[in-house]
Amino acid sequence: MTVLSSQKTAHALRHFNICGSLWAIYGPNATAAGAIFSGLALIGGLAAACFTRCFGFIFLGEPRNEMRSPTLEVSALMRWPMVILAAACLAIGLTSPWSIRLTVPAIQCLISSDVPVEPLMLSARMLAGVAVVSAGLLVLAVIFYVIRRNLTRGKEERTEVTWDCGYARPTARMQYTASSFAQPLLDLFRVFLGTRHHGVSVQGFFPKHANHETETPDGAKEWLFAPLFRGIDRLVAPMRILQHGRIHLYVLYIALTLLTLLIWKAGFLR
Amino acid sequence: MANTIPILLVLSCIFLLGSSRLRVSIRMVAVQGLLLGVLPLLQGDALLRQEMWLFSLGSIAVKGIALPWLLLYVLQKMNIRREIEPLISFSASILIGIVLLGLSCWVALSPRLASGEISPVTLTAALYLVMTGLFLIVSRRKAITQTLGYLVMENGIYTIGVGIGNEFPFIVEMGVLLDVFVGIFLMGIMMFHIDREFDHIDTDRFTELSDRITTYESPAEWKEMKS
Amino acid sequence: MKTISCILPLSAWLLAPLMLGIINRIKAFFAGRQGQSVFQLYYDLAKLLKKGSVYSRTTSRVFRYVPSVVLSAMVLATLMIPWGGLPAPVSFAGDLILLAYLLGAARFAMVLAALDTGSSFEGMGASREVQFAALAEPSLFLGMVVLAIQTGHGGLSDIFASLTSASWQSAPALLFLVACSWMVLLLCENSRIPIDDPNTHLELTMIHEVMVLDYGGPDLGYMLYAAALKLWIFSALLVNLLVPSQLIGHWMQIPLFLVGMVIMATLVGVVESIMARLRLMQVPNLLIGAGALGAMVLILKLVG
Repeated sequence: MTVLSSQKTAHALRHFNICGSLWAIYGPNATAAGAIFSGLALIGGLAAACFTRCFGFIFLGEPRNEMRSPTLEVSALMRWPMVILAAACLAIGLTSPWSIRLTVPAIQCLISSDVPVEPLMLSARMLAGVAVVSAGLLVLAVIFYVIRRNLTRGKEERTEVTWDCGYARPTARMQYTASSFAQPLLDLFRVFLGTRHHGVSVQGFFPKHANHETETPDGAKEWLFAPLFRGIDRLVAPMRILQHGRIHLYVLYIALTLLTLLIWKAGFLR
Repeated sequence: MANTIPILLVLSCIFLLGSSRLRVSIRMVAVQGLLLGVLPLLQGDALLRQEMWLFSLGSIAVKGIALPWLLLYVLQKMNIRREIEPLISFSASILIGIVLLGLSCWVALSPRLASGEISPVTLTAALYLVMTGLFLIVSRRKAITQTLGYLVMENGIYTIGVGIGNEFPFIVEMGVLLDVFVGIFLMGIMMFHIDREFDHIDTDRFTELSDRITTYESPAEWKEMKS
Repeated sequence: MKTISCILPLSAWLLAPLMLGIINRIKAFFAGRQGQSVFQLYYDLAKLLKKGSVYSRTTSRVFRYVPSVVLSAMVLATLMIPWGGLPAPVSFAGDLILLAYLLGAARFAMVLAALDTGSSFEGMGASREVQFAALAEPSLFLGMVVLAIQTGHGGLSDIFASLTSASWQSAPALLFLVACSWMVLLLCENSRIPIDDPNTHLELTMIHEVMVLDYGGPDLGYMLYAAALKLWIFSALLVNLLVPSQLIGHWMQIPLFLVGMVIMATLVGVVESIMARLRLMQVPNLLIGAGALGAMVLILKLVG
């Protein structure tokens, strides 16, 4: 939970940062800003989908099948570093107008001239607004939660089964999994993704058996890197003859190399 | 205010790219024709010249009324399915349309093409019309939508001519108009015959047309071949 | 100046449920019914806040925290909406991005809660909601960029303060197209017909309603009020765009704004009554069309 929240905070604040500083640097007159913004907007929406899908992987309501060995929560020593890091992400985000000054020495290493102060000041002002509002978000959320606790104090609080629309025998496998969650969005980009579908489709009026699996291959791996590496492998395969495991031949290689070097260098010294 | 008509032309193109119904597409091309008929009247002092009024009325009559009516007539006669079946999906067409709009904007703004007469927005709209017309021809199956694409392309070329304004000879425009009219007329007749012969006008199924000549030994064998 | 600006969020907090009441009343009028009272949502909220709560056994702590997060995000977002010459209480350059991300954060929280319940319906609604939101978000940004280029300012309050009738006279078609694109965005974000039917009882057809299906009591009250505030925010953006506000004094602008909001609610009610809901597979086409409209306006704005 801490990992996810820290990731989301960091991502959201990075986005604020990027958008805000782009706005400051380019200003409303730029032509590039428009294209960048629409791209960022789409990325923002897709990122939200991505994070919620991650959440769905990990935190899905009920476990879909029995685990062989029971899951244990890790020890406190492993949890606390993550909590500390998450808190640090949050802290950097909330104090962003000041923490952005921490990056000035780093930028100065990269560019030779002085760091331009004006865009930095502008983005610092914007980030101040963002930080104030984010802090306000957290404070208000706590306030509303406390109000809600007080409202329901003394009233009953029951737990029931999740609403299943009256279905007689719901099972845990009927939940919406992360891949089903992402399917509509991935379907829009199916030309680029090349998702493969396997399975037996539903047939007849009272179907007994049907199943459906999808897998989305990693495009870069399958169509770029794997063929590339296979090609390189084919090119250098003949050199495997040299690797046979016989130690005296390896020593012979070393001796031959030294001898060649000696003859070569000695020949020049004449 | 003078930019409104080019903007509406661009909007009609995007609509054409995303529309799935044939009658609506034909009506949208008719609207384009109407807008193009009004466009010459907004150029400078054109309102005072009588031949411009005649020209406008002629364009509206041909592009806005006659040609769409002809296409609707062909549509009705041939009884084809009223939906467009695209080779590229509608969402993808719209996105490609936006990319093409960016491209035509970039070309219109490039300094080498900038002449004093034509405003960049009109030039963008004209280039976009041509590109949309080509895209429609490439990405749609039915012959009638390819005719629509050709019409849209001609509209684009016409817009450039009108945009440049007084330098473009009047008689050339009339010649182009006549050209388009005759072309569409012939296309309509051809479509009618294609449909009668093959029972469809899906151009991507026309790969069976070839020049092979088969010779038969006797009339009886030919009859047997036909059945 | 600042004291007058406080009226804007206050009116949002007090009057947002009224807008939903107006929409429902218009829909009832079109259907030939008497319809609910215009203040129905107020009565519902009062009733809900007095109730106890029922939780699903499957849910975790996330589910309990989400309504507070959603409500606080919406309340903060209302603090950033200006009207015409009056600046919002919270405004700085680039605050439009913050507005979009506050709404996005609220949606993120809702989707997390929906996935937490382990119900098929809520997962399905969440996946649809995420898909439509990802497609609709570019429209908002593109429209904002066009307005920023038109007026030359970066913050929401400054942009809408400089959007006068002169701007409308110089580029009427482009601004109107931005308004059309934002209208589709409003219908999408607030789950109105033609994208989602707020009155459907069938869980398979719900998108937004099904994400709040497992809430009860004060939590449901929070979520309903947050939805009303969201409708207010989007309507306020549209009213700000469509009505140039420079011509009248400050004290007249507040009533004019409220009249504009009522007209907006009427418009949404009319659209809901005369259109049918689109097939689910066609909604992405509509949203991509609205985004393409925004992109087209941006490109044409850059040309001239």
